Amino acid sequence: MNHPKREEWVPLLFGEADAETKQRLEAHLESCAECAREVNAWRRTMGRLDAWTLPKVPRAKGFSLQPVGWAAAAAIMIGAFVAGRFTAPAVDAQQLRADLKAELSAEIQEGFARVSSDSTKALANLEYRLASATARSSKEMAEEFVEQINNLREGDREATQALFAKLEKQYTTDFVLLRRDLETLASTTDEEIESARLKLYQLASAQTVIQ
Amino acid sequence: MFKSLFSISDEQAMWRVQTEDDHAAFALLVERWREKIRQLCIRMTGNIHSGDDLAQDVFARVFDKRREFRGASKFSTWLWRIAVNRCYDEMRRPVNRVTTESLDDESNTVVLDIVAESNTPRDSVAAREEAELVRQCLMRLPEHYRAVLVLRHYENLKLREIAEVLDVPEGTVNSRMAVALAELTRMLEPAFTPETRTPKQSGKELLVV
Repeated sequence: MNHPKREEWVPLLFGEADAETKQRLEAHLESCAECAREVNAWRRTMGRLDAWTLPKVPRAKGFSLQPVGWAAAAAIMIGAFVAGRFTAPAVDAQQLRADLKAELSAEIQEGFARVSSDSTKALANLEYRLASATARSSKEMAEEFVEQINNLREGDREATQALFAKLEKQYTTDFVLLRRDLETLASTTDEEIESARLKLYQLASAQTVIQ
Repeated sequence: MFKSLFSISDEQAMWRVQTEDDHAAFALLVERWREKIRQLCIRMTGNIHSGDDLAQDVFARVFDKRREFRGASKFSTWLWRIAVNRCYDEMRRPVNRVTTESLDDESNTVVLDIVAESNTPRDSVAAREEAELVRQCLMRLPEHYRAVLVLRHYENLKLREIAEVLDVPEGTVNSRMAVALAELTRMLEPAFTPETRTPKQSGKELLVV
C-alpha cells in the first residue's frame, strides 16, 4: 500500500488540512491499520501534552476598574459639555459637528489609554513588590501598599482633570478657528458669486451692443 | 463596551512606538502579550521561574528593535520570532544546557511550584506526575522541534504562521512536527502504561509542599 508521508498527517491532526486532503487521508486511515495505529498514538500524545498546565499570574482585578470608572465619568461630563456647546447658536453644519466629535473622541481615547495603562503599570509594579515582600510579611509593607494605592488614585484623578482642562482649551480653540474659516469661506463665496454675476452682466451687455 | 475605546490594533500601536516612541502604546502591547510570551518562555525553557524575566527581556528587545519592524508583517509574527530567539539564546547558555536536560532536583522544584500555585487541592498525585513527565519529555526534544510543537499545541498558532515566525517553509514545519510527535510518543507511551511506570516517578517527594 502507498502510505502517506509522516508529515502529511500533521495538518490533518491539527485540523488544518483542506477538504480534499482530509478526505484522502481519512480514507487511507480506514483501510490501513498500520497508519491508523501511528496516527492514533500521536493523537494520544497530543492529549497528554495538556497535562502540563501553567498557573496563571494573578491579575490586578478590581483595580483595573479604577481608571475605567474615571473614564466613564469623564465621558459623561464631556458628553454634557459637547451637547451644551452645540445647543448654543453657532455655525449650523452637521458635517462639522461630526468631524469635531470624531476628533475629540480620538483625543479622549488616547488620553485615557495613557492614563489607564500608566495606572495599570504602576499597580502591577506595586503588586510585584507586595508579592516579594511576603517573605518579610510585615504589616508595615501592607500599609505602605494601601497608601501607595491611594496616591495612585489621586494621581489618576489629577491626570483626568488635566485631560479635561486640555480638552476644553483645545475645543475652544478649534471652535474659534473653525468659525473663522467658515466666515472666510462664506465671504469669499459671496465675492466670487458677485464677480461672476458682474462678468455675465458685462458679457450680456457687450452682446447687446454688438447686435 | 469600554474596551472599544482602547482597541487600536497591535500594528497601529507598534507604529506609534516606532515613530513617536509612544510609551503608552508600548505599555498597551506589553499588557496584551506579556502573559502569552511568559508562557512560551516557560514552555521552551521548562523553567517556570524564568518566565517573567525572559518575557521582560523579550519586550526590551522589541523596544530596542522597534525601528526594524516592518508594517508589511503582523506584529504578532515579529514578536513570536523575537521571543523564540530569546528562548534559544537562553537554552544555549551553558548553565541551562545542564539543568534543562537533567532530571534531578531542579526539575522537581518546578513541580513543587506548580503544585503550590495550583488552586485545586484535590489534584491527584498522578496528574502532577504526568505534568512533570510531559515537561521532561518536551525538554528532551531538540529546540527546533520543541519550538514547532509549543507554538502549535500550546500557543495555538497555525502551521503557516509558525513557518513565518521561524522563517522556514511550511513543509519544514510539518516534518519537524511529525518528528516531534513521533519522539514524544516514543517517550510518553511506555510511561503512561501503568506497569512500566518507573518507581522514580512516585510522587512522594512531590508531596512536600
